[in-house]
Amino acid sequence: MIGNAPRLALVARGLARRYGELTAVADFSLAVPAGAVYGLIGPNGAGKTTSLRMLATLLPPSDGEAWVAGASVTRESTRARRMLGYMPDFFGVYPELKVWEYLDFYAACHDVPSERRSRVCADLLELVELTPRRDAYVEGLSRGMQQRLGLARALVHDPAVLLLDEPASGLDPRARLELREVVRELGRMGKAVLVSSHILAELADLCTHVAIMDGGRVLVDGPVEEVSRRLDGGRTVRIRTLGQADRLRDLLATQPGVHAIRLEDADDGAPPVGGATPSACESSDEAPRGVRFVLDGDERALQRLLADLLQAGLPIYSFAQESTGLEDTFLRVTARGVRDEPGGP
Amino acid sequence: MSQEVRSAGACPPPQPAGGKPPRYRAHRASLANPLAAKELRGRMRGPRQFVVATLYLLPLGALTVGLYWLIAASSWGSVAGGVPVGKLFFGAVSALELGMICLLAPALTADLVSGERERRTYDLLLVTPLSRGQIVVGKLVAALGSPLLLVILALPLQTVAILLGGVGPEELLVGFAILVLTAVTYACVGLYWSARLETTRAAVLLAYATTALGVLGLPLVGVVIGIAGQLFGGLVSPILRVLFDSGGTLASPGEAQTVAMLGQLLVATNPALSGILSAAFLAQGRDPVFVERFGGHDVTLVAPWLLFSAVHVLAIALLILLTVRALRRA
Repeated sequence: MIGNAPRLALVARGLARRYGELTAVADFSLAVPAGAVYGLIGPNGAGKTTSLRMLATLLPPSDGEAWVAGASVTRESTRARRMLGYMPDFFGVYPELKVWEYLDFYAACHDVPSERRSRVCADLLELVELTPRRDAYVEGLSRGMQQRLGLARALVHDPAVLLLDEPASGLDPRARLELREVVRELGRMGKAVLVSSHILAELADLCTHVAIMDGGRVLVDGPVEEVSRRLDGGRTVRIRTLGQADRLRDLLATQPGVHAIRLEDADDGAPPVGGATPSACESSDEAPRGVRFVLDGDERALQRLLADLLQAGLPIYSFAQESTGLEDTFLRVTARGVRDEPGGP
Repeated sequence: MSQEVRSAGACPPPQPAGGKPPRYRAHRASLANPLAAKELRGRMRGPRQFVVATLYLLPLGALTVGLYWLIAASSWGSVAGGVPVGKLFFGAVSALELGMICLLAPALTADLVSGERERRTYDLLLVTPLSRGQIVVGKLVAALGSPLLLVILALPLQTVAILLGGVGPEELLVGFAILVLTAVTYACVGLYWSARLETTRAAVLLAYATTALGVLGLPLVGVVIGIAGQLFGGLVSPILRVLFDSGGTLASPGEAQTVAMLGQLLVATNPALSGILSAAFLAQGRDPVFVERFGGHDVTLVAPWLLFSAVHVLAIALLILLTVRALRRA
């Protein structure tokens, strides 16, 4: 990052959760610096909620470990709870309580001294713009107001880390904007915010960092600019070869700027260039294969790479850049599980 | 590039951030338990408590007034059929109160944990630093609030018995203790099932089934033994003779003591039987621990209300432990 190593508010290493044969989360690893608004994006069923529940100490991991401000979520769960605020994707309220009583109750549960509680509640209501509804019953608030109240509830003990699971789901556009402003403000206040969503656009303007998750794994993560450059600016290239796909992959792995290499099982049926025939393919001892990867660089880098590959004598018959776009790339990443190969640069 | 965009697997080691965890003074005594305060506030607010108290006091009040009118209009004086009218009055009011407690106590608590799950507020509670034990204590204080309030509300009606004669403060206190312990025990039964089961409906159902077993189980056992005695006389007659025939004898004093204690323990599980036997015990003016001739031997027995109290205090402790375990598993 910038000079010194960032202070990490939240670290997860290899968190996994299995239910018998079913693996909900296979490998959740993430490092969230203090002050970052970290977007966790993935399609429904990617394992976002399960991961957040493990981080929130609500679900014991089958494997792996996580630390909230240095406190282990498995061995020091009470200490970890003091340092984290959690807002689930859907939560209920106590209908018999008024807005201020609701906040006061959770503040008391977090051991905030009674003489400080009224001040804390007033400040939080101000932050989420619910001061005029202080004496209203929680049940009577709109969905957007309840979400904002839920956010205030997650903040009553001034936690270092906030875990927000789909906070904007079910909100109208105006309520989304208001919530976004509050979360942005929290980032400016120095809190580490991990916010999940299955809508990329929802996080694009909000987050300083982003992690893309699918199939129970974090596929890519990092600061938004870097991930964007990688996903949006980086060129996705697809090569088709008549054989020696493994050699091609190994060679690509040694090339500068090449990453996220993935072998694909079969060609899409496009005819080989240069008059090669299927029988020629089979004579090369391997079936035709496709290799997809991301290249950071301009057209010159593309040309250099192609020249190197041809010079190596690989039976390449197609070398094409695929169109990109943040949404498209996200969908392709999550659909195919692109991830840095261990042997990548 | 892949180094710039950090791969998830290459997380640096954890470093604490955000300063030390906030250390607020601990005020977790049961009375200061925020959950108890919240529950009591919620329960006392709105018409629910008023309606429950009214439904509870109306039949009790009607019985009290009706009995008082009957006694005043009759020519019994202070004794009816050899029993002081005060005792009859006290017994009738207490029996009705006991029945209503058994009906109300489990229902008042069977939604305490399952209701949190159904409302989707349970997770929010679990991410606070409150331990499972503190959650149970908080819920329990709230659970006990309502039934205790009902027993206390009915106390003035019971004290009318003292005016009628034949009932002393001792009887009143023992009756009060039996009612309170019954209320607390069956409130704990409701709380346990509420923690154990996902839905309030299932929790209410099992809470009532358990209560019915506790209250009606022993009389049912008696009926079953009676029928068995008729059907399989030869096989069960030695047991029946010991249990029901004071002339029956047992082989050794130890055996007599064991059988007598088992019988007492069985009675101690039942509030109605314990109440009736306690009234008889107090009328005889015996010591809390006394010697009685049973099965041809002298056996040491304990006052029914004392054993009832011990059994129910143990049951309450066990139910609390089981509730904490159920919450941990959840």
